[in-house]
Amino acid sequence: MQNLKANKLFYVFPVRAGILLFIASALFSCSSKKFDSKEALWTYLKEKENGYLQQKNINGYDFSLLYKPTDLLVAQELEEDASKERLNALREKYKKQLYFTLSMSRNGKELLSTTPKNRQEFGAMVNQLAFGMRDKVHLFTQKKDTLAMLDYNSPRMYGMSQPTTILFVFPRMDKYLREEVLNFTIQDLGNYTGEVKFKIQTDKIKKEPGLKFQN
Amino acid sequence: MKKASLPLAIIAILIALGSFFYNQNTSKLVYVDVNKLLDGYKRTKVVRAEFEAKAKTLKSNVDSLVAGWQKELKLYEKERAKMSKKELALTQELLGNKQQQINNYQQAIQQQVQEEDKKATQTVINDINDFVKEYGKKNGYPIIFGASGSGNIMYADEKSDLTAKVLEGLNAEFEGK
Repeated sequence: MQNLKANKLFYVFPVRAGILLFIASALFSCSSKKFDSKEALWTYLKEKENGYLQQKNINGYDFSLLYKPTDLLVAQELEEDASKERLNALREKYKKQLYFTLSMSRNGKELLSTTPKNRQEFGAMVNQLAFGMRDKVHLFTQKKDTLAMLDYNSPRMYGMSQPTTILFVFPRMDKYLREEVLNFTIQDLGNYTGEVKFKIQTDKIKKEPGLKFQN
Repeated sequence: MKKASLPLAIIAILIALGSFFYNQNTSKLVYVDVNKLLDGYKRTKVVRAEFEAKAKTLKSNVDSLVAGWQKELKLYEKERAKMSKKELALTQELLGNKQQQINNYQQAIQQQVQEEDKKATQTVINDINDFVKEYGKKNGYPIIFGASGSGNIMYADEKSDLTAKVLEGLNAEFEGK
């Protein structure tokens, strides 16, 4: 009888422990990471293994795409002694959009310093970067449903920055985030790289890391 | 203890089988035929058609300019007998300048067509590179060679050829399946 009990324990205990472990790991994997500082969050985002930064080199041109979580944009606008209401209002404002930073460079220099071969091409590229990126950058699902770009910002750095960096804003729509991946494409900007594509795992967006704000 | 040994044995067998299949998969040297991928990828046809339409428009611009110039040349030849020496020189100079301009334009268009071709080809190559990389990672291949028919892979067993599988996946992804 005692032997039977011992045997029963031998089977039951690992099964229960396994179930508990499974539930705990499932809960842990569903929760998003929270960081104490912006710097810590940036370090996490810049680790390629975490899936928020993707990089590619095509024909000597470096492309990198970074997903910017909501809290990073909130922190940018939040004053030091802001109230909880203000924090919630900002989170509400920014969580409706998806923010991506696209960086492009050649030999560690921005596109305007390396790609145009003459004054005309330089002018055309300035124009393209400032006003024409809506036609060149697209975000769409695997079934080719496009998320219309809301806005983008391409600041002129006059050679002071290493890559050409542009911030893109798209609407955050749950129906599109139910798909496994979103495709972010950049058409050729006159540098013979062809169309460059980044696949963004929607899971990463849904479980985006955040900041622990002190208020 | 006796009862516990059976599940343990089953687990051990499963682990052994799993590692056998995993190692069999990852130790394989496989390849894809790049030319076949380029030909069979449905986006190649789409991109090529777009390029050809663009090239046709550019070339037709040149053709209409050349036709206009030839018309002027014929008119000049027809009426040269009636022209004064000064008129003759002036028309010759005008036609010469126009011919030069058309030549320059033609060269610029040819260059533009070549550039467009380069961009279109690179787009397709990017897609193939991305997909093969992803396919290799997903299926645990340590290396996937790219055969281009120019002697970089002289012999490979048919079983090592992943081209058909990769092409199927590549086209399915392009068609949004």
